[in-house]
Amino acid sequence: MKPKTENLAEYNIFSIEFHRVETPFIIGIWIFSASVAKIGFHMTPRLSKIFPESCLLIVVGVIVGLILFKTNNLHMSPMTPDTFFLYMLPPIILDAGYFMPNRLFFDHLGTILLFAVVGTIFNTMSIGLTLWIFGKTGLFQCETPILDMLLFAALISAVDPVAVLAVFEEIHVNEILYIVVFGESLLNDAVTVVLYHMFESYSEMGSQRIAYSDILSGVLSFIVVAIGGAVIGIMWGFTTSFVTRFTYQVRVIEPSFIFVMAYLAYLTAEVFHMSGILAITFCGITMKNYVEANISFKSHTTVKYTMKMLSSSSETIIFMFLGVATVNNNHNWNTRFILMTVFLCSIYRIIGVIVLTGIANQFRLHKLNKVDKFVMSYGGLRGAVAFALVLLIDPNHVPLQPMFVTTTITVIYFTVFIQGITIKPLVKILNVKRAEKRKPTMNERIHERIIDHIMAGIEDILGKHGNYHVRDKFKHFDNSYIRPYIVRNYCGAEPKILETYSKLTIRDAMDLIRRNASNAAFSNGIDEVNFHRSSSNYEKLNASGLDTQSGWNIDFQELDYNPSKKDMGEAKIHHLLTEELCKPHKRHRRLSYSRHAVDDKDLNTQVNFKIHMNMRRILGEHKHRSRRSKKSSKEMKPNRVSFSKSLGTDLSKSETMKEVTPTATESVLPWKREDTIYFNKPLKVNEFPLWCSAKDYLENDLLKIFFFHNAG
Amino acid sequence: MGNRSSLLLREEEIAQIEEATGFTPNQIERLYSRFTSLDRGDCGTLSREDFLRIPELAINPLGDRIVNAFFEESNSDRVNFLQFMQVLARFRPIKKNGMNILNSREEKLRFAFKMYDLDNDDLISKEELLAILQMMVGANISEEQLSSIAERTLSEADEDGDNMINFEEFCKALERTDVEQKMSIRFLS
Repeated sequence: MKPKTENLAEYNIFSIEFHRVETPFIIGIWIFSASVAKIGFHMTPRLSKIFPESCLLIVVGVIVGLILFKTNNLHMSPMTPDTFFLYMLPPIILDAGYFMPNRLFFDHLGTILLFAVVGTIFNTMSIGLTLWIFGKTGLFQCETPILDMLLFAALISAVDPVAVLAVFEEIHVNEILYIVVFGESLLNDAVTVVLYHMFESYSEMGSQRIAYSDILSGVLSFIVVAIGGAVIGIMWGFTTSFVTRFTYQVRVIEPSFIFVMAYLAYLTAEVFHMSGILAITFCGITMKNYVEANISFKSHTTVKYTMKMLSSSSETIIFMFLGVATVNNNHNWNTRFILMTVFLCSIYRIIGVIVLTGIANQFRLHKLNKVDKFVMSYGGLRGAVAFALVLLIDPNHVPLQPMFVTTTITVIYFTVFIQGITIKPLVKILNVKRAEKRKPTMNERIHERIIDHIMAGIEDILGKHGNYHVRDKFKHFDNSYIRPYIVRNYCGAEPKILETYSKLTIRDAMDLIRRNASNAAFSNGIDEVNFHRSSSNYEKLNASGLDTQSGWNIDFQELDYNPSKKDMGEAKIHHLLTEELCKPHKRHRRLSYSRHAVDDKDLNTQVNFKIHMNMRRILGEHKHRSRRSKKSSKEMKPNRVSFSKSLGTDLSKSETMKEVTPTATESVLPWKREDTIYFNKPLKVNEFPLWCSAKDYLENDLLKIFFFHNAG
Repeated sequence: MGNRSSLLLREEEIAQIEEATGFTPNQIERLYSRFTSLDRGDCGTLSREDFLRIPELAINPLGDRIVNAFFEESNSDRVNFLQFMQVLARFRPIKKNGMNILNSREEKLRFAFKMYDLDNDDLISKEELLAILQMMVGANISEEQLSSIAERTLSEADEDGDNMINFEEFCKALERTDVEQKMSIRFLS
């Protein structure tokens, strides 16, 4: 709103004020164009088959950069180290940490750490020293102080989690290979940060004044940075879990707690110059275990999707920005230096991998073979972390910085383009075992847990403190000291088994509903009218010509079946129990005065009432069929045909009805019996659809409830 | 300790165990020293109490059953070293040129199956499954919930409709699991 004084002169109906919104507007445009580009690739399957997405995004970035460059609009450099480290990196790392396959990660932690720590130090030192030696011979035609070279090597030798994720997500190698490369890229951040800061301050100090104590403190600071980052992350993780214990009243803020606190973990670590990447990774790993038990299913879905969205958009933006940032005029191209760097990066990566896998295989049950070694060395992509770090170098202290920038960009392009494009076909040619993504079945979940226990027991008998032993100890500790205090509804020692059970139940329900088109009608509310009508038709039918239809039931077993009191009781209990496991949720259409209230009535059920009832019916039907398949398959048919014939006039109705076949439980329901008050004539089978819940019949006022339910 | 154990173990015994189990002599001697350290009574065999004295085994829900598996081999209440080794041999990693059959995938699975199958009828019944679940999950979960989990597990694996899991069905249920990896221990040599 303009102040009123301006009214005196002239009131502008229309005015343009761009600079106020410039920054958010441009950011918006960036995200928008990146997303559009991403849609574009997925619309062109041929492109996305050959190129990994990251390549295409860089290309788009370069094109955009060129346009901006030609129009001299490049005044707002999109890729600054701060925007990268503070806004674009955390979502990706959080996503990686939160969805980290914990078990795999900790199983291979030794190998991962070996690669992340020793491997990165080896790469840094060897690349730096080799470049320095070559510099001494005058190959690069410029002064190459050893510390600057080491600084450069420190940033160039770190495998980049963003690039690795982007490429490995698409090729689906087996999980061991994936976790080793990916874990390395996450954990080597600690080493990179330390080495980078160390060499940066060394080069500021000048090489003469470095004492041995400085090197020693460098080693110490590595331990501090790594452990400190991890501890900060774990602490924030526990705090988040603890806080979500109390959010059951305000479900809407659950996702924000997870994001904000993870972000705070990252920032806290950055404040103290700890490894933020490690902090947020461990924060994600820690909180996932407990948060999922505390927050509602819907919040969890929200967290999942938001995280995926944030990480994929920042990944998209990072690659685009990389492309844009390439186009500028402070390049300092030094062919020899660049070629040498690319060569050294690849060669030392290979050497490092071969040596380190040799060491790791001494201790591993699953040996890494040649193909694994190849993929690991080839998958060592460099990416935006290196780029952001090279931009951070102060050109006043390090005069070679422009050359470093150009070289870093080239190395990134080399790894992302050449290695990124070729790794997919290579994986195919080498026949690398691919990952099969699937959810565990109930059997697998239980038996694998049993196997874990067996192995832990055997390790104890052997007196060997291996993985299983450690895991067992941790689980025991977790279950007795951590979970009870952090998880709100702490239930049992094996939450995974319950989780698998509930997930499988939901999936089954969804699948069944989806597969049975006719049943699917039930799950959407529109059909309620139809359903209503059919049931009232039903009543009419029952009232009118039922004597003629007493021959419906051809199944003698069914006729002979005479439910006793005990059976009835059992049936009741059975229904109550199944109900308890997947509680039907009633939709209360209550007025909500709060914008922030999330209707959370279906929290524990996770299975929609109708879906649940449908599923039960279908399952019951299935059981029934299989039980009597030999005997009564012939008899079932006339039964059903006559049934649908009798209702045949109404097509939609017959469709909804014809799936209804008798089940054992159905036959003991009250309305099946002779004394049912609603029907003049008894109907042995098929007379009432199963979608009425156990509660309905228990109240013995069936139809009323039905209509009531429909009306409400 | 290591000295004494190698003294007690004669060459031909080592060779015999090596033959039977596929362990290397080095591993055998190492395990023998563990065996003797477990053997409090110094009588060359282990009793149930010797096993159950291992503190970690007490918190393992399957501790009892694992110990039992050792005694099944011997059919008595003592386990000698050879029997001890034969059970452990099931957990040797599978080598490509492995000739020993004790550590085959089937034997590994058989061991896991035995954990459920208390009455040795080669079938896992719902009761047996429930007992295991109860041991693992603990007391905080309602019986009904566990029972429906057991039911679901049975119906998922059950193929011949007897509402039990036999060994073939058990193997089938775990066919996608990397049992060779999961049920192997790297024995130090």
